[in-house]
Amino acid sequence: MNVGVCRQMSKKIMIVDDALFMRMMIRNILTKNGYDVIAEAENGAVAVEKYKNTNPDLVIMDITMPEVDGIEAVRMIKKIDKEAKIIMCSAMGQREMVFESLQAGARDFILKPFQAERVLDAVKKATSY
Amino acid sequence: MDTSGYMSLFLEESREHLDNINNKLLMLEKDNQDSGIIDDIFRSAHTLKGMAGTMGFNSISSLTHSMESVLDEVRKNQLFLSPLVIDLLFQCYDFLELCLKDIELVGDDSQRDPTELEENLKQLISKNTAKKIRPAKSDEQESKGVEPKASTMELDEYQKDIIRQSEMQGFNTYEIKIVLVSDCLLKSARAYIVFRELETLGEIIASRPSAEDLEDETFGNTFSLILVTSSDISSVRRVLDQITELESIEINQIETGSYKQVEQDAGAAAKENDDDSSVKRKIGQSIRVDIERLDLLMNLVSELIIVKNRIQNENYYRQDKSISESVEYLGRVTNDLHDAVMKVRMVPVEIVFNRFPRIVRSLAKETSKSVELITKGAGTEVDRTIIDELSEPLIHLIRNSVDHGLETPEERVASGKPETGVIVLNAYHEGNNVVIEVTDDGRGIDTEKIREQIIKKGLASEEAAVEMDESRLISYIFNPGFTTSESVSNISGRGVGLDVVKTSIESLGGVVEVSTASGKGTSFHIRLPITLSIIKALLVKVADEKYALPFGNVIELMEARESQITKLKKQELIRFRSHLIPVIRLDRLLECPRKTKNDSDRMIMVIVKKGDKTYALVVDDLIGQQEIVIKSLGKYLSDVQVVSGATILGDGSIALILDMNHVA
Repeated sequence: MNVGVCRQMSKKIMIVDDALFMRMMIRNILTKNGYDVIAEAENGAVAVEKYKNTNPDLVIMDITMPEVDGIEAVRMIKKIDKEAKIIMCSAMGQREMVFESLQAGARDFILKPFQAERVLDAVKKATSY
Repeated sequence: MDTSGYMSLFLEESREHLDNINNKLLMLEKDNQDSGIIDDIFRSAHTLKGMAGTMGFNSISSLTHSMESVLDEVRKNQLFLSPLVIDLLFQCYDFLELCLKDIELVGDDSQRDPTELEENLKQLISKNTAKKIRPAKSDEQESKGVEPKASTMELDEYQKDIIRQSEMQGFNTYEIKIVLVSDCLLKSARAYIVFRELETLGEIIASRPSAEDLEDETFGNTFSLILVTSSDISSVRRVLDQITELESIEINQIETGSYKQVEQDAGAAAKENDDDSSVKRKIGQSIRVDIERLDLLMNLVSELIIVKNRIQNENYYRQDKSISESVEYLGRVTNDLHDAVMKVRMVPVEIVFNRFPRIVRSLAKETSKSVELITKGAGTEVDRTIIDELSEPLIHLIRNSVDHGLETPEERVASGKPETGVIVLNAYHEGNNVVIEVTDDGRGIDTEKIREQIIKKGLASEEAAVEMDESRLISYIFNPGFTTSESVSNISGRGVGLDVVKTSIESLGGVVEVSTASGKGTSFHIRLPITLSIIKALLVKVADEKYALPFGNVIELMEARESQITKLKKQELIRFRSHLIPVIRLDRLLECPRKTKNDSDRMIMVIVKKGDKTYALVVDDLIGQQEIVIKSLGKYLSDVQVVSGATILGDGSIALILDMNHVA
């Protein structure tokens, strides 16, 4: 492991997705590459609560979720912390929703099904400053 | 591209540039050595070309292009600016103006064919090149001038202007080329992120493909944009590096210099840019507002005044001191608001006056007279709606002055006057009116000639004509078809004109008066209200109906008895300050019969003045004076003559506004 990765050890990430499968997959990708997944949430409402408590460096957020969806969650989190960094995670064919979440303040988006390097690239760029 | 939304802006800016061309051409006539003036004309022509091209008005863009070529020759001292050239440029100006008018009326300039003018312009150049034996390259280069290099984005004049101005203010301009990764999905959202992030640094003034195309995802993997920012190149790169799925990022700083380079290569607008950056443009603290929005604002203020009047008419508020104070305050604030909105709508008459030097010049040429035009009070402000209607009547008057009023130079010298005739255009405020005078120092109006014509045309019996005094005679010049000129020129003398002047001024609620002195000159006075939408009025009652009389026309109120009225033929007259004036019974004129017979012998009369004539209007009762808001009767009732509009009174009832021009 090189120094760069070591430095990234400190980056705390929260994963929000209603599917446990997706959360696990993303978590595996991230932890393998030295990121610290400090929280997971299965819907937007929980995500907002957990964001307050854990204050992660980055949130990876699904769009379609029960109760509070990802777009609304972005808005709520941005209200709490306008510096919050959020990457949207969306299935294809959700063009309008992607735009909406970007307008709400999400930094970036990745499309499912995703490749590990895309996720890592996005996470790296989002947490690098 | 849908350009309809830019139409009014296009028209307005084009008019400014045309005015500029006109003014500068006039200056050139006096001093054809000033290269600054030529540059200025060139710039205006160039801007017009760009704007018209964007809007798809090909006649304008094509002609301005040819104008540019000629002007460029002049700038490079390849072509001598002879009067012939200036004349041709003036013709181009006329043509462009007609095009603009067409666009305004029918939204298109394709009816106008600039080919002939363009040929003439081309001949100037070709003659010139033949003489100088210059390589024929210039023409070919010229045609390329519109298209910048393929590697550089096409920028319209607005965008270039922004770049120039931002450069002056120390901003950097970057052209950024982005290539997305080949398997990038949702490219539009990716582009959106790029735009969003860059906009945190500055302003994106152009992109290729256009923002719409980017949004619709109708582009490949590449797009370019131009960013104006105060940040340096490395911070721009840092921001872009944060964005995922970008294959490559290319950032190049561009300067107006590089555009100059491009254009110099193409030969077209060589000097334009460095001039623009050296001459700091005056950026006024102002914004453009659509006149319709101002109308809306005015309308709302009008409604507010109606409500205010209504509250003031209620009695209950008087009992409570704090309420009555608030109502008074409300009254003051509404009045201030009204004044403020009025001022916003005001424009200087300069806008109209600026067109006249040109007109006088060409008239003087046509009639071979020597004329000097002096304008005074060009800063006098008038409501925008009035300004628009003012131009035509004034042109008529000026034409008349040059053609009829002023003598030929020989005649002038013979009668001991200076050779050059003087026309003075003067504007000033007088009370709630604005007065515009057109005065010439010509021969004056020959009243005897008018008398002859009256008899000849049978407008009055010979006896009557002989008895007419001077002012009565002069008033005949406003009759349709009346002329004293023996010769009909194509400028004036056909007898159309002054009657049109009169009707159009009167339709604005104004009056035209003439004074003349034989051998010394003639002066036309136009008196107009400053605004058309809110006036002070005297409210009267006729039978059961309420009517409003514009306060400006009311001279006096008086009480009279039936026995004081004398009859001459069928006309009823009454003595008012030693003059006999016509009596007009409004109940008869307006055909509103009284329910109860007025058995008293006393009558209330409102003495009104219209132009130089005075009338006594018989009314049943006086209600009082009030500020009223004029509401038009709408198109459906447009042929109603006696009533010029209606107003809503405080109690919600409606009063018709009488048009003094048509009461008698």
